[in-house]
Amino acid sequence: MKSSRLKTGLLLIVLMVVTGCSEPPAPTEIQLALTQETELWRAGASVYTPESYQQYLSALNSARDLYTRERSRMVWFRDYQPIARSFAQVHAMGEKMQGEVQTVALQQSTEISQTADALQKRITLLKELAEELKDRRLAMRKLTQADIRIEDAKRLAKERRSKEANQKLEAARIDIDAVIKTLRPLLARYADRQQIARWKSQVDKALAESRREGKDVIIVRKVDRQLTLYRKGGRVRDFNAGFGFNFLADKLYSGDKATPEGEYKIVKKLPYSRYYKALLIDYPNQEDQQRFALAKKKKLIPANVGIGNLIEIHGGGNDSMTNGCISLQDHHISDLFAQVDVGTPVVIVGTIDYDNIIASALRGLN
Amino acid sequence: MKNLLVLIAGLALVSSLAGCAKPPQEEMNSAKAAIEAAAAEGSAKYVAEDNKKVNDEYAAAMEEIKVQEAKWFKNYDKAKQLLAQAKADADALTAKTATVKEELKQQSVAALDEATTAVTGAKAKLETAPKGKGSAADIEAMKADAAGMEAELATIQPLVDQGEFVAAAEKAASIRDRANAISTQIDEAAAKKAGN
Repeated sequence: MKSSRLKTGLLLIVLMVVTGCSEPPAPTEIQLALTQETELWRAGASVYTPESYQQYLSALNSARDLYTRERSRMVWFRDYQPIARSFAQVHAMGEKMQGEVQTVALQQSTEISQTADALQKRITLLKELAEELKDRRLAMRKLTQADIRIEDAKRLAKERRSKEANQKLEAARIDIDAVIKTLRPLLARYADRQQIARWKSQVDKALAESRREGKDVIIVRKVDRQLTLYRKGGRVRDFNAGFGFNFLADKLYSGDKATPEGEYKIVKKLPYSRYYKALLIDYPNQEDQQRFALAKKKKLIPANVGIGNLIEIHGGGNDSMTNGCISLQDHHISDLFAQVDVGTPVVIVGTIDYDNIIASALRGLN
Repeated sequence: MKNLLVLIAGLALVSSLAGCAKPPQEEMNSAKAAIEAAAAEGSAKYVAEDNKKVNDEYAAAMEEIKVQEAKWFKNYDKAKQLLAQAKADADALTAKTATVKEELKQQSVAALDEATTAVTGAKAKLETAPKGKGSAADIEAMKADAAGMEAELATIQPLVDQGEFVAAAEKAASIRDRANAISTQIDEAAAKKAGN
């Protein structure tokens, strides 16, 4: 009897040892949660929803600790049901977070993309303006740099580096704004309705006079890059015109490369000019001299500069860059030269179109 | 029968003695050092997916050790196996990181060279661009573009130095394409002029 009890006891010990070594299957919820954690990591949860992700990791680690503790117990005392519930809760938490991560990722990516697009539109607008106006200052290197920075920002956004992407966009925005700030005072005149009305009034007056007195008049519209010959108030011919680098400004002093605006007249015809043929106009007129004197008094211009002179309508091609003169193609200056006399009025204005390209570009930039 | 009982008792004794086994400290240190070596090489940056896998393997091994530590009858065989796997994978990760890093570095350096050549070429072409096509203003605008590219080109070498090889290569490629576009424009203008 004693031997039989001993045998049973020893058998029980052996059974305990043997069964205690075999691992029961882990709850399926564990693998689900671990796979989900990797997916969340891949989706960038630590970047897009860092706080939620930390809470999730903390809950996952607690569940893992529970599981570890449970596994360290003897097999017969293990209860995996609470473990399965814990991991199921973590999984549910992760599923909710997956949605959050997607939303935040989409939101950040959309914001960056929208900002980048808006900035690129401004660059395109400024470059188109440069292309239209042939003014190199509008294609400043800053715009190219800003454009490259925007591409950088887009790449960073793809790499989920939203903060750095936004920093790049901000740098690009500062560059673009600096360009606009430099250009705005110059361009603003072309969107100023009062200024355009003044230019229009000068043109209307000149045309009325041409009609009334049966005389010729030359009208130059800088934004349109057009020179038009009128006779008796009627249009005779349009010529494409070229100007200098700073042609959008009104000439104030020698060397500013601006083309003067105002009412002038041809004072000399030069059949043999450095630029094929030329029609010299009477810049500076009285109004120009008054403006120059005032600018000098207010120290708006360098003290040692003069007002400048020798502003001509000449040949040489309308794609050449002048120092303030108006250039035409050689056969066009020939035609014009033959048709006009000394004394012919020349009215140079910025534009007479309220909806000119600069005004509309400025609206876009705003 | 008595002999059988003695054998069983002996087996039980051996099993219980196994409970005195100590955690595999050497294997733990070795695996950890291998993972740290991979991290120092930049595994998290250059081969993030593999890096996570190895770290997860190490974490699983540590969990197994915790489990065994809390047991009466400790058996670290599985933990040792997991640590050995983690170490082997970490060693492979270090090698892979070095290879990937070197490849990316070479690509970024090559891209920077290409971009530099493209910008230099575009600038040289701008100096001899035919004035008959377009206007001097076009040339000036393109020169301003090229100057902007050159300024941004200067920001690429620091990216290479910081190990930001992908960023450096992509930025260089973007600048190269822009510079090549200028060269193409000038070439087309020259061809058109020659055709005229």
